[in-house]
Amino acid sequence: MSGVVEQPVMRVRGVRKSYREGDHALEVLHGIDLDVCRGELTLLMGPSGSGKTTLLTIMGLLLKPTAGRVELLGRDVTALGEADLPAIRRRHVGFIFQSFNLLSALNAVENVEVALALQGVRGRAARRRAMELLENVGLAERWNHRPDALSGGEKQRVSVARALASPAELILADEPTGNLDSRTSAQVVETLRRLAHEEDRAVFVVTHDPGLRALADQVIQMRDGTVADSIRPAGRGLVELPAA
Amino acid sequence: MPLIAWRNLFHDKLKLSLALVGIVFSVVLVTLQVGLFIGAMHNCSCIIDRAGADVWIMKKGTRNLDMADQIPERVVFQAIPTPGVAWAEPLIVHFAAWRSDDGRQENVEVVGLRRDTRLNLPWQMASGDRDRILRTGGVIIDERERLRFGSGGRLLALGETPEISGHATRVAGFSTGVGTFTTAPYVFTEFKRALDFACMPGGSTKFVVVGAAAGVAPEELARRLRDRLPEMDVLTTAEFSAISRDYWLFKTGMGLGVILASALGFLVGVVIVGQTMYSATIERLQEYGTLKALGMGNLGLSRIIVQQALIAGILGYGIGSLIAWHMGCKLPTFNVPVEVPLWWTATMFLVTVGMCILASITSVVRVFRLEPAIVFRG
Repeated sequence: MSGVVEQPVMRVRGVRKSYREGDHALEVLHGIDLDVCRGELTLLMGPSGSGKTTLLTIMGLLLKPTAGRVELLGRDVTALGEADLPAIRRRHVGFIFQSFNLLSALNAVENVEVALALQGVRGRAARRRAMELLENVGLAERWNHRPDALSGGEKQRVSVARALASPAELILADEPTGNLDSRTSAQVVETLRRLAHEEDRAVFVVTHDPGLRALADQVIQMRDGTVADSIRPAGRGLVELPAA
Repeated sequence: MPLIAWRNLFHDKLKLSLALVGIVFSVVLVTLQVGLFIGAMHNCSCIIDRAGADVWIMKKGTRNLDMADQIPERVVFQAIPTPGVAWAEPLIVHFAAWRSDDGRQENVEVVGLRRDTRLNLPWQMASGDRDRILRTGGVIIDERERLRFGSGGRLLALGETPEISGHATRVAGFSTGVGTFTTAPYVFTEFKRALDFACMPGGSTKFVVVGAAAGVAPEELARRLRDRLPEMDVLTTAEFSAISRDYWLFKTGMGLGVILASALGFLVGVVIVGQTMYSATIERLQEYGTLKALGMGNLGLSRIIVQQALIAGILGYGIGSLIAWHMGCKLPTFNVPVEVPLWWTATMFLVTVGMCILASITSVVRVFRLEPAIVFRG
């Protein structure tokens, strides 16, 4: 007998989100169900206004759903407040943003050190680790450049290095290739794929880029605030347990 | 994260300069305004404090040294037999008009001392021998008044012969460090000459000052003298000093004016620093949102903002206190009674820190209310 156990890092069930607009509420998510698993690169695709970013924001524990449940590593985090959430985000969630969101006054290595400092790594150890992370993304030589002196691709790689500074099981990326040329996009995508497949993290990417489909383990298509389609190529993201 | 605060601050040098200008302006203004207050406080009672008397007898209702009514000089002889009195003597303090050799007129405050006075007035001489001058009848004026009281653009010199209240006199000595908080400097002279300058009749005085015998407390002596002279006000030096200060600093509104100006200086500093910090915070909201998303709590973000304000505050304090200290040294030579003691300079550090923390409150509140979801609104 063989058993198949899927271990989602994040489980989203019946998530709804509505915003007040004058007297009435505008619902942008209408009951989303999805799982994001370790070792998988999941793509969330869909037209503009379909609710992708809202869903990503909820999954990043940056926004509360109006209804439904969000579980992170088996724990229901839906009801947690801002007093508890920063620590959970710090440990378990990494972010990569379309507009990079680097701290403009800090150079590349210091931007990574900030994320390390939030993990409690400081001083020389932080500098050493930050340099390693920049090296991993091929930016060691540009360590002392500020964001305004880096190209879009370089900034995104710093952003990736910063996300890698935490041991986060879940990496959320919002249009990570949106502002990049095709060659740099390929490098960033390869890094994301490696994160999922070699570092066994759950990587969840919001994208418009159909070229990424080929690399994904799961593709979720959203339309009008609902999951219209979810494709999981066979065998991906499943762990075969030995027979009891 | 002192690094973020430091780098944020120095990244935008124009904003930092604006904040520093605000802080420096505020530090200089508050330091000097309070320095003026301290200087005025000391100057308006310096004659009382430094004379060396223990008890002062004056007409009932007298509220300060400078505007007392006359009393009979015989009060001296009524005071002397009182147990505990070591000595007693009359003292005149009176405003008068000084006319220079070239005909210019200035106001002075004549202080009349007995030839054999036991009072320590003036307490420091720059030139001339006080006792000799009191015997020979010249006047002593502070050396810092030499420019203002000189004639024909020259410095006032020893031997010049101005008139005081129409009576010819001679400049026989210069005191030093005897400040006044009014525009009329103290001119020391012999008691009888002072009666003439003050147009007071013989046998009158303004005050009778008393020294206590060894082992007699001024308060006890004042109590005995009150019993003996019920028609007079009898105050210890400390009491009279306090009443005089209270009159000039608070009853006349002068002190309140200085306090108000200091408060305004503080407020200006808070507003400029607060405005600069707030606009810098608003510019970096996306970055603060990113830090929130990365897991930094509100406390950590607040710390960054307060650290920025504190770094700016410390830099501004350093520059501002140096300027204020320099001005504090220079201004008295221009007859501005500013005193910037070390304790006040140290206190200003705390005031500056407080100002900067206060100034960062609006930014802290803004960051507390910041939704980390802002990071995805690019």
